[in-house]
Amino acid sequence: MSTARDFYATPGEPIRPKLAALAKHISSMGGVQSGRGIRKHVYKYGTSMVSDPATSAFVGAFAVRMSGDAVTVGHGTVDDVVPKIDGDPIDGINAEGEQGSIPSLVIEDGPNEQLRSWVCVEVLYDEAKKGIAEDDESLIITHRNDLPVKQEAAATGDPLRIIKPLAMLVWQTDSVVSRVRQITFFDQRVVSDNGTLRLAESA
Amino acid sequence: MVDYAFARRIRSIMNRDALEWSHAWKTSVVWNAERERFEAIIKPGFVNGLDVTARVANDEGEFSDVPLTNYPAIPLASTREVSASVNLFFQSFGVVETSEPTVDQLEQGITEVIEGLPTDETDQRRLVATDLVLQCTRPSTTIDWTVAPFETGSQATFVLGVKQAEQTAKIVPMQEWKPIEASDALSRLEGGIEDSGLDECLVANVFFLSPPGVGIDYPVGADWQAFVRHDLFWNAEHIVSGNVSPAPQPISLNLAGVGAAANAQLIVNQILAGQNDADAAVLQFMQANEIKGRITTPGSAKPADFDMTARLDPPFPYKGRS
Repeated sequence: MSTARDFYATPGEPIRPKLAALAKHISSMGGVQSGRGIRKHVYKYGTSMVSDPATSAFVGAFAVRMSGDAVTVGHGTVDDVVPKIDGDPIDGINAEGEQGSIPSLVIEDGPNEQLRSWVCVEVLYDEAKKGIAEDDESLIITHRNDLPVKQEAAATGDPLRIIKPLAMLVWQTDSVVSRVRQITFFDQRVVSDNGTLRLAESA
Repeated sequence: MVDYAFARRIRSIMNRDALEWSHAWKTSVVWNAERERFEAIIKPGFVNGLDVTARVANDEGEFSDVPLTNYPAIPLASTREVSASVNLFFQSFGVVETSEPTVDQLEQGITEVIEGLPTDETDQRRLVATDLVLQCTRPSTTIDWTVAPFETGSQATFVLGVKQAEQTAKIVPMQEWKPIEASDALSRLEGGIEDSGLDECLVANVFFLSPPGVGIDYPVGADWQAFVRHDLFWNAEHIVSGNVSPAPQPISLNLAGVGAAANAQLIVNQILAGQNDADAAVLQFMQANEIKGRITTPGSAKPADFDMTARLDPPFPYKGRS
């Protein structure tokens, strides 16, 4: 195998054979391009190709992502209905089925004393209709810093309001979120457990 | 030109393994050389959307409950020998199940066989284990008798109350976890078996595999290999059902014949009929009033089929709890 020294001419040495050897070496190497999923690292003494096979990474429903001071929530449903942020469905698809911009929820409140807060889905359940009430406030994404200890205690004054945490925000300080921890991974259904309504994973 | 050519010379091609999705409760076990012990670090899982804690000591030896989202290092100190029902995965490493004492051993006067000591020690390995358990607290039912059932034989009275407890969840390392056994309704009503107010489920078994040919007294140390078999893969919900109202209720219930042994002096059929009615009344009462808890997750309770000689955990989609 050739080394770099093979192509340098020392003083007094004919340069043509060196150049010919170098040209032959370059032509024999050909060009190497990196494709999708292949990373090409070029260093002084050579090139490394790194292949990252596609992973079976699982994302799931309601994937919460934080960017700046706002969160977006990936596609997910409650009783087959997509929740909204400020009146817009979280997946950005409007009533006509057209893809619009993905809405984001600005995190205005800080964390609790333990530096934790939650991104939640809140449902206003119409018991007479046995379904989600039909208005823009009946199925929404909210930010809370006082999650009820018990799922059954999720009723907040209104017995038909059901709250399910989607992700926990772990704060570094009162104003800086350090991590997002996903809690819910599946579409949800309203179920009754001994007369108490709650959200559970869709079967 | 030479530098250009050499920089583009292929020196290596690496194919990185695809990473599996890291599920909640995924446990890593590391050797802490300073404290000379294995410690578990658990990827945070949640119960009812809340942090789960683990009790750990700080450098000053003071214990506190640290949320899993702060990644506490949970010491794994107490282990048990695994000598029966050895997982196929570990059998492929040379761990064998303990055999019964042989006739020769018995004839030689050996009366004790130490569990976990293989019959042939040359290349065999020891396996010890410990368990990580999710423990959830909840309110529990209390029963204070005013007139006990067997004092009068009928119309017993008692006060039904609730022992309040905050609903919390924590990770507890145990030498060997066994599910809390359900007691019969009558025993619970009689107060003979007190409701612990705890619901538990196994998070993971942690196994330690010894170097080959070590004795039974060889301690777990840095030269042992740690393996984890998970049993919980999804964030959980702790659902408590029953009347958790703190107001005590005086109750009167006809318990004549409940659980009583057949009295030979009376007609057996008559007793059995009465006993069955009373037993049914107890069962019905307890089912209606007792506080119960269960830990559930998404997913099917049945794990996907997999090669148990090749891996300890089932593959994705992970199993759940109903």
